[in-house]
Amino acid sequence: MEFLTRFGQTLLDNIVFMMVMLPLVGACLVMTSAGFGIESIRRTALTNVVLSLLLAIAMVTHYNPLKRTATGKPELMQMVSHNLIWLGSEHRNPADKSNSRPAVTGLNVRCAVGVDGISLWLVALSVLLTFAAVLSSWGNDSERPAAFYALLLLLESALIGVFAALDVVLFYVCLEFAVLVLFFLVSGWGGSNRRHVGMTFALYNLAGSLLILLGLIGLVTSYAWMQSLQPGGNPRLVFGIGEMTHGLRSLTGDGSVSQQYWLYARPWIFLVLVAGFAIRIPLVPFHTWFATANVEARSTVSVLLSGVVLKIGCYGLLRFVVPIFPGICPEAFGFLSPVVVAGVVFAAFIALAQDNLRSLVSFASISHMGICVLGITTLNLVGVTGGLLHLVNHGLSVAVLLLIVGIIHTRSGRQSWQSNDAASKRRPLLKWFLAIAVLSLIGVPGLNGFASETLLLLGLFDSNPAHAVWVLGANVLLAWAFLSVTQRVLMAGPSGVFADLSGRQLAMLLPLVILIVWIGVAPHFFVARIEPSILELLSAYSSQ
Amino acid sequence: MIDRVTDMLDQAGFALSSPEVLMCIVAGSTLLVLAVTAALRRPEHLLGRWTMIGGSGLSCAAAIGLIVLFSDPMWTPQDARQLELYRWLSISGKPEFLVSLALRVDALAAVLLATTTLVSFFVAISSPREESISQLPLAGSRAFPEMDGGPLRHIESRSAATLLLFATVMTVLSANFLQLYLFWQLQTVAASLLAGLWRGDSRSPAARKLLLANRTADIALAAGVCMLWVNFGTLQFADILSPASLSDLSERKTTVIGGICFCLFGGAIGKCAQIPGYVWVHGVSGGSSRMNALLFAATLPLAGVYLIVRCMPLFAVAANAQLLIALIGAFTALLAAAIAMAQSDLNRVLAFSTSSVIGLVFLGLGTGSPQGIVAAVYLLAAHALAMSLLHLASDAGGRVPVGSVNFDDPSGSRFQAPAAYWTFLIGALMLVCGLWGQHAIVDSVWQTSPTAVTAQQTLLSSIALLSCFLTALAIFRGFFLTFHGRIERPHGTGGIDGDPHKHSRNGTQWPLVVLAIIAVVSGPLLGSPLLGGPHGILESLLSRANVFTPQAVAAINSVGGQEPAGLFGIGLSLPVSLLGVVIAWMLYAPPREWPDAVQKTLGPYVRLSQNRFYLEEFYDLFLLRPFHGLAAFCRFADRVLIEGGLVGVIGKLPDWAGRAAAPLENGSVQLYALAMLFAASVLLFVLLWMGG
Repeated sequence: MEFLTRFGQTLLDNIVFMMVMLPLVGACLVMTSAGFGIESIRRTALTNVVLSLLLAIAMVTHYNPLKRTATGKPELMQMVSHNLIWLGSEHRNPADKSNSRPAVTGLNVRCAVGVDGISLWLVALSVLLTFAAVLSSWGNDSERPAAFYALLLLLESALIGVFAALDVVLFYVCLEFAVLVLFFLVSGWGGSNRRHVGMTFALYNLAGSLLILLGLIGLVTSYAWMQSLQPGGNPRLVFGIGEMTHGLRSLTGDGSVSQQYWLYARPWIFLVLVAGFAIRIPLVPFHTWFATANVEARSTVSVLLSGVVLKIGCYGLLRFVVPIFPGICPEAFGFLSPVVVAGVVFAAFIALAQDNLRSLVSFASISHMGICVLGITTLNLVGVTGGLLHLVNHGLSVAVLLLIVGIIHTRSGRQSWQSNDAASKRRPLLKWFLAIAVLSLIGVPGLNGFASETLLLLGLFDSNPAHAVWVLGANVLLAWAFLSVTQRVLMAGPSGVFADLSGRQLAMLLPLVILIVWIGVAPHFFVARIEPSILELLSAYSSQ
Repeated sequence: MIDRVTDMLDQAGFALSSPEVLMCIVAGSTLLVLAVTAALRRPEHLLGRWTMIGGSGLSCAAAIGLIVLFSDPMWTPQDARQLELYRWLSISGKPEFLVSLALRVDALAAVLLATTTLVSFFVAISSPREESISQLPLAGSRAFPEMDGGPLRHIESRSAATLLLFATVMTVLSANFLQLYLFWQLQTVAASLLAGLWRGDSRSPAARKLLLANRTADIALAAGVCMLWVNFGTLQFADILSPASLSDLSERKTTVIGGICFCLFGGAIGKCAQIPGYVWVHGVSGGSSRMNALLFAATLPLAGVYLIVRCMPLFAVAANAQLLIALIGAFTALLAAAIAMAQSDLNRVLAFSTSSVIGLVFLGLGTGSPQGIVAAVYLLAAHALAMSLLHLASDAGGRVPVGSVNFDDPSGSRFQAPAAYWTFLIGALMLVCGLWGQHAIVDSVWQTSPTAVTAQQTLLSSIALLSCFLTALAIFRGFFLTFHGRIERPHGTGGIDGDPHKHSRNGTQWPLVVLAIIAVVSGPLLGSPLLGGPHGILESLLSRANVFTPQAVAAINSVGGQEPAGLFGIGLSLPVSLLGVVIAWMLYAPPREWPDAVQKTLGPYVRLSQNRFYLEEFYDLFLLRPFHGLAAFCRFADRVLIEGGLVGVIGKLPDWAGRAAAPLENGSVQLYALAMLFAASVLLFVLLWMGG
């Protein structure tokens, strides 16, 4: 019995690692089941994402934001598994009987994963949206199904890896891997212009990744260099994100030699990193790759693209830029945020000029991502929490919207709605879901967008009221754009397009809609898990 | 046994005498109604109708119970009852952000709750029976503009109506500004859903306009709420509006509070259709009369006025904001009454009259004096009752049972629907001159400086008088044109089944009569500021609701401290209103030719008024078109400059670089050697220089 409990505990403690690995295994299984026909491919993929979803639920319930270590310090990074070493090897001195960690020779690059309040909901979001994506491609997957589902699962694994990585190298590998998988997904399945768009997407993102790589190399080498500058210091390359962050902070506190070096090096590293993440966010004017890819890709893919992939940039800001550069962030963000505000308003205006829902969603997403960045640039607890929550909320709402666009597209394309026409006399759930998604995107209370936007605006008002007013104005523009286009969509299609949902479609939409309402009605559950981590993140700022 | 029963009764009575229980009943029953109506699938289900009637009736009874409780003099302005439901969101930090969903009730809230639930109750009762709905023709029926889309739309619109009621009740029961903002926006959404559904798909731009106009106005409200949090560090009514937090203010803080007041009033402008936010009224008011009764009498203006009355302690600090309220209220009263005069549709006449009356309410609030505030709240409540009576009566007496009542259509329902005729007349008289609300406001404006006559006071009170006259004229013009018009029936367009008034006889008369009685009785009951003297019930209720300044409350509580209301208002504005009625009667009661002549002589003015002073066109020309133009430009800039220019150029850079470097790679070994030599010498030089 005790063994079982301990086994269960071990499983729970390594749940994030399992979440990264499970889709990889699933992708292999999908490829092997390709010979058994489309049904078995679908079932394999579905089983895999359902298992992932269960793991994600277990992860969320197992995460305890108030957990403390034995010494009483808050332990925010939980479910950490970091025993797998990629480069370097462990050496345990046989004479040493103590239970301490064995010494590592070589580079010590680890496959270390774990979640804290910043990554928890993003990881859960990746899993949930992959689940919805697999279900939504169920109907129109006649074209190379095995490859498609396998790529979806690979993408899930890569995205979880990006958010959960505790090692710089693992983070970067997953980042690149996600770009490659998406390149195949965009250019393999999609509209007529998909090859060109896929190429633009890949080149743009690889350029962004290159900048991020440069920045990360800069960070790692700077830390090693600064260690050697310390009296009696010994240069050592550190790849653990947490260790590096703390080390960089502790080495630059006083007027030491290493601080001199850091003062010289940090603006460049900061610039390169922010530029890389700005492409990923995407900030105007680096948004072209997203606007085209999101319209051209299959709606299943664009669910993941705008639901999860878009969050990587902001996540990078929160994970690397904000904690490592407390010295220059307040000033630099002062320069950055007017540009972001201009981008938010600009994208909102472009959204107003769109006449179809797909491209409207793209530009609205660009605008919303800018708003999230503004939340982060406030550098106060309320604003940053709002920005992070808004990332999740935007992912949920946009996913519902894009899934519905996919359904409508399929129905009106295949003319299959006539058979369901009688059903529309009853409750047109699809219409209501569409309305809920749109209302949540324009920040109507009772739905999730309101909660995060309120926090964001309060934080923004505290730091820069003028920007807050601009954001409010952009919101009205987006509301205007969404209402006009949605109305046209609701009016244009034959009524049968809004026929009742099948059970499968209900299964993919309902969890998302429930979450949208839940976050709107009682956001405390979600914010309580975020807040301690943001508090820790901003601790460097409050002390100044 | 008997002991136990009396014990239980005692306990029940005790429970009912606690405000917490009563406000839970109010909120809970509206929520229950919402849940039931949203869950129902078949329109002919009796449950839907009876839950609506029962739920709104129950909440109305509880709200009246609350009024009774709060008329006990033991309440002081600061002890409202608050009940925390759950923590919505909290974030530690400085200042701590904590918002709980809570119910908070005081005397002011009780009065407004009773008003809104009473009106909803009567709207629910007078809605058509289910058996007639199940026989409705499906989509595209012309006889039922409201029912486009058939029974399904009916369910949806009923859900929207209950959502609207719930949002209004929760707005009034809010305990903090964020909760108020939350339900405030929910109310807007519900109202626009209702407007969009009842009007049929083809006309839903009206609903969109309602939503957008209100959202734009809500920018100001959101900014105000954020500024409150930044400056006060809390959002609770109890903390912000307490005398302690508002005394001994620095000059900077006074300025900030002035700004906050401007922002809060900006939100109310949208809800209450004041200048310049009245653009949505025309479109929305074309719907059915019962919908209009809900929207214009019971919910939207009520929430807007509630916000301002609730924040009166803030406004007491900011004199400029008070002046702004008074000015905007006065000019809206005038302008909306002028618009109402020329509308060709009874629903629209009534809707713009609402706008005008609410303008007067704001004028009263703008005076800031206890007398003005009491008169304003009184006028709001009395207007809600009388106006819903008018809407429901026009519903029962119009040409078709529901839908728009157009003056150009043959009318003359005086004989076919006597109940509708008389109740409409009573309601109109009550609204125009029977309930003294307008007169008390004119009086309170006049009283603002009792010693000397100021220009501001003269201007405002003469505008108020003029608008009283115009409103009376507009409403009675509508009345006479609807009920006294030509009685002729063109062939073949006599409505359904050839009898246009079949539905008006369908048992919808007694609610009207009851509502008319309530509207008449409620005046003296609440203590009309003039009828009930200076110490009416409403005044004593409001003096316990943290609305007046502490000095004013002290003055009210000291017996005889308050000046009795002067006769200026009644002496001047009652005759003016009656004059409006009489002129309307002379012009329109018997079918005459010379209204047309008048219309011709006043041609440009009438056109101006009919077109709502071209405000919508103005917005279209100077706001919407430039915005669309800007949007098109941004799209163009995105395509050409960013996608084509920036990205294109960067994309071509490697290509260009390759071309530029290509001549170097021409296979000439001498050139390579030269380049190598050059590079090596540069490297050597740099190394030497660095080393030295």
